[in-house]
Amino acid sequence: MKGPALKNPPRELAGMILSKFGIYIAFIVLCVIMSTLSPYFLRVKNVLNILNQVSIIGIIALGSTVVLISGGLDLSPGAVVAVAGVMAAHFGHPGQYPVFVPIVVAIMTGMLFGMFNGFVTAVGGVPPFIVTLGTLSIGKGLAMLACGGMQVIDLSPAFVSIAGGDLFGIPILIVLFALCFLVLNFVMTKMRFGRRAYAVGGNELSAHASGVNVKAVKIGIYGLAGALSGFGGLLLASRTVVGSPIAGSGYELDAIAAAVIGGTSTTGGIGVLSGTIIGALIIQVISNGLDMLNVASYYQQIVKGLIIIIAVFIDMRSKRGE
Amino acid sequence: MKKILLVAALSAALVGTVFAAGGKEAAPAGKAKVIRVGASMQWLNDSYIRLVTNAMEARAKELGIELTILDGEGKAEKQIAQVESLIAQEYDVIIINPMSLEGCAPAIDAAVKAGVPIFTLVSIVKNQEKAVTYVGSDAPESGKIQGEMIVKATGGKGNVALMMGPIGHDAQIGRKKGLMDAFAGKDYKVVVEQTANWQRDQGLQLMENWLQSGQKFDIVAAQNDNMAMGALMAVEKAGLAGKVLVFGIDATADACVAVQEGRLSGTVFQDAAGQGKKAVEVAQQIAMGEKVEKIIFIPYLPVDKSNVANYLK
Amino acid sequence: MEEKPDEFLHMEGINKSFPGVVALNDVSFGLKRGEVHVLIGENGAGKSTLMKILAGLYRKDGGSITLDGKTLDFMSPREAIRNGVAMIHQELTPIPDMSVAENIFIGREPLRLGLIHKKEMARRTRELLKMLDSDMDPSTPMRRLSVAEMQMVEISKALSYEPRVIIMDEPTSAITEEEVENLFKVILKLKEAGTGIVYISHKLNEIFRIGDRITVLRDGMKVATRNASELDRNELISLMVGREITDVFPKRDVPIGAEVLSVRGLGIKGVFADINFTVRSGEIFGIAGLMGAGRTEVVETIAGLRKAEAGTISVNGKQVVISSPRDSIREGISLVSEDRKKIGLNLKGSVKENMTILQLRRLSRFGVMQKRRECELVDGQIEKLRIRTPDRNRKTMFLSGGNQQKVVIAKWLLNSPKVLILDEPTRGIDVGAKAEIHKLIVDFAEKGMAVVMISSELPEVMGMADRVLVMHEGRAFGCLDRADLSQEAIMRLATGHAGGKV
Repeated sequence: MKGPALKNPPRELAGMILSKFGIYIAFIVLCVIMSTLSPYFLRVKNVLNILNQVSIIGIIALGSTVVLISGGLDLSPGAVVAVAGVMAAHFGHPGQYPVFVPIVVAIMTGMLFGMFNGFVTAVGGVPPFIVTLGTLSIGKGLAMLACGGMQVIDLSPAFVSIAGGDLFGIPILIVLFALCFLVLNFVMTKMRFGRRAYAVGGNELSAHASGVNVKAVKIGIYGLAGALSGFGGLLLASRTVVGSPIAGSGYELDAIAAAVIGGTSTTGGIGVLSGTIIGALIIQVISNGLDMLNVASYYQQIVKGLIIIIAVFIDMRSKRGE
Repeated sequence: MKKILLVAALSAALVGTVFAAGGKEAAPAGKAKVIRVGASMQWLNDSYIRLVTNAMEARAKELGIELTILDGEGKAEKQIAQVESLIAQEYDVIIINPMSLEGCAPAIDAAVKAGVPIFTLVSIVKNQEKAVTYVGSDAPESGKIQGEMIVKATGGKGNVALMMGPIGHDAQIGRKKGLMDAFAGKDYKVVVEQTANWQRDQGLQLMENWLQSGQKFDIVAAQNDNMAMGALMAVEKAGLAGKVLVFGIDATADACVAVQEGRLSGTVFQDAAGQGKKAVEVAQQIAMGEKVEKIIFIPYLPVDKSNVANYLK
Repeated sequence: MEEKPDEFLHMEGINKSFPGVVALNDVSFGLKRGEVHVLIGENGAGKSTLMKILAGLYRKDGGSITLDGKTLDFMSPREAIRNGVAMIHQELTPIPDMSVAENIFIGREPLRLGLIHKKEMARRTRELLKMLDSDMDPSTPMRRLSVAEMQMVEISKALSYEPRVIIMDEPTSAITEEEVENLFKVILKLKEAGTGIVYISHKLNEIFRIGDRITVLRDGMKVATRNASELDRNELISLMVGREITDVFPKRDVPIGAEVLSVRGLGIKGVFADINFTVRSGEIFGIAGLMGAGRTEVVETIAGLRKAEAGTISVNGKQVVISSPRDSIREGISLVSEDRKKIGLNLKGSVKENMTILQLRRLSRFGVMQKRRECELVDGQIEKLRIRTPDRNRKTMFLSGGNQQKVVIAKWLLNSPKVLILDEPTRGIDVGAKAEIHKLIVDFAEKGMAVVMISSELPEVMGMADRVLVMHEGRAFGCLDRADLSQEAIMRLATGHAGGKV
């Protein structure tokens, strides 16, 4: 059957460009606005500053993204960050353990949390919203328990350098963020695990009927996201030089917002990690810019919320035209 | 399978609640009446408040008083609910460490209406005159002491970056007022002010952004040590140690270490243990019908390099 | 085009484009009162698009529409309904947790004192269903209904608006012969009342039975409008396709080999019981029956989507335990499901991703997908099955029904199945693609596969199958050899009259 004639009038072309690059355009526009409002915005130091600040939440957002892609939802990062940070700090005192110990502890803590999430939702059938809401609460309690309510201080210089060092002049946090992105992107786009995750998120029943081990995929994905949250918790503890049981509060919402702004669908099966990076950057640029302009924090909250809504709206409109 | 899990989870939760509640039902029947005191604290994950409650628990144990401490989780509505619950459970005296000047006022009204004595601890409420008393420090006093330390260290003039607690919090309002009072008649200008919600990572990020903004300041007045430590790290990372002086309030353990090392320029000691101890003693007095002062201030003390050794734990 | 004076609906010079595609190019269409005007064309020809414009779902880019002399340009389906145009869609989208009555009256529930008057709603629903000779309970939740029953509800809903124009898009694609008869009775009643009916269908026998006029669309353009009496089947098909199609059922005699699949005493309580049959290599084994007979459930059990409670399944003589799709896939069983959108495909995924989902292990090394191997495999299948898609990365939701079905078949073929089960493989697919799929099925049998085919289209079953198992309400009522096949024989068994050998 020969298809009907293909036409590409300018209006359609604009629509296609917008749908693919909409979020990047929005980001550029935002940066332009910020730079006109403050001459310091585009200075190299400030750009590095923003990239540095976005790295931790960015790593966590990558985890939230893959969970969304697989059709799930993770509300627990905030608590995992706190527990992992406290646990890591316990092993980070000067002269006690080699520095890889707190790193491993943090990641494993996060991974265990994540796998628990995955297990309860995949095998127990409990909706992820409920499970991760539960682990959010459990995690906050555990974090307090693990440190008796007092921040864990007195950390070794090696511990501090995990997030505080430089690599050829580039802050190490940015390097770590980039590494996490590259690895995760490879897993999701080039490995069969990623393929299965997209299949489960796109149509779980179809994936099951096609022989995909849906339970294993879910446990794996949530475990991966948990590990990333744990890693983020370690980095936050290192950056602030304290293991705080209330660190990371609210991070799960920013992480999900970054993913959704970046084009990841809340119903599963659709999403790219590069979009999440832009989403996280958009949120961070707002925060950084408004701080520099000395705008009170409640305005920041309002602006952030509005931008999230607008960004998703633009993304939805452009997708509808396809 | 789903059903079994649900039932198991609910049972576990129920059993857990029973155990938790059982732990508190300590009052043995048939002995001399034990004084029961209930306290709603603004949040138990703040290390300063923790110091207060540790002292409260220690003193209560010494005096044989049954003390229940509740976590308001930073929410005024939760504290109101907790006070109402304490009233319903017929506690003898209620202590509230209010999160919000305005928001916690209904809690005082509720207790007064029910005829249960209530007083405030560490921070105050709008309708303070209805409470039996206030045990704590005078928030403006800490701000004033901080201001005086700044004046002493910088000779009467400078540009100040003010990092505050949650807007609307009694300490945020009071400490700013005290600071401004200390600056009266001197040549100080507050060039930027913003909240970092008592949090270290927010203080860090805020200072990083301020340092990029082109605003010029040489003094940072942070309303608590957590934020001050965060700001200090950003200042040091930017290579401005010594050029920008950072001051905090609370004299927490790591802040004192930082003062001794010459990194933090000064902090203000809030006698947390003293406040907690006194609170329990005052509660006992009220329960036994004694009259107490309307305001019981525990004084603040400045801490700088010269006297920090006294405060290192 | 000359306007017929007794037409009360005119669509003139309609144009409609979507990004990159011209769907309708200067199409005109007219409808007389009391007429059944059939609209036919291959998938993608533009029939649904034209009618969706009429029903207010799409807005036309150009052209005009007049109804009873008034020029119309509907902005929404609600406006269309208000003006007397109702459409019964091919894709059913009921609200699964609401009842039949609630679905029919959604948004216009009868009220009493400001609250929904449930009794009245149920009464009216029963009345509407009676018109279609259905005694369905109005309080049944939609999710419990079969596809056919849902379609009945959809038709009732449209009728409840008492429209001047009813558009039926493939109304009989998921209902049984008995229900089709009921529908035709209703259509005749509507004709007498003067309602104009637009009937979109692929089923040629129905078209010639019920249609007054036939309009053929091809590639977004109108090819012809003729009276049904002036056309014959072959002419119609060549108008549609633009080429000659000779053999609709290319059945060839294929050597039949050893027993491949054997099912004994299979049963699930309350669904089906005591199902026995064997399929040999090279055989095309048909399973016929009315809606709700349990055919889909039986094959879903063989494929591991349901767990058998009684009975055994054997492959190549060896008994196997199938408790999940992975088990059956491992045994070389492939099931192409009835519902390709819900089970067969991940619509959000591309052609490539859907096709290779069973082959991930084979196409990867140390967990990493081997791009070249994968693309070669996919391109090979696209060519072999003649799947029409701009490229392999196109998301399957944008493909036509026929091509979607081919992707699903391609996916399951890659499993090199010993047993290929197809559940309603040509439902909702145009004649051209249908013929291709039939040819493919015969090719598979020739290659030695044991093919099981469920179909509700008797001509298809009779044309393709070597043997046919007929089910009725969960039981096997008879098994007919090819020589004994006839519409009546199958129908008798399907309606519960015992007689054939099992």
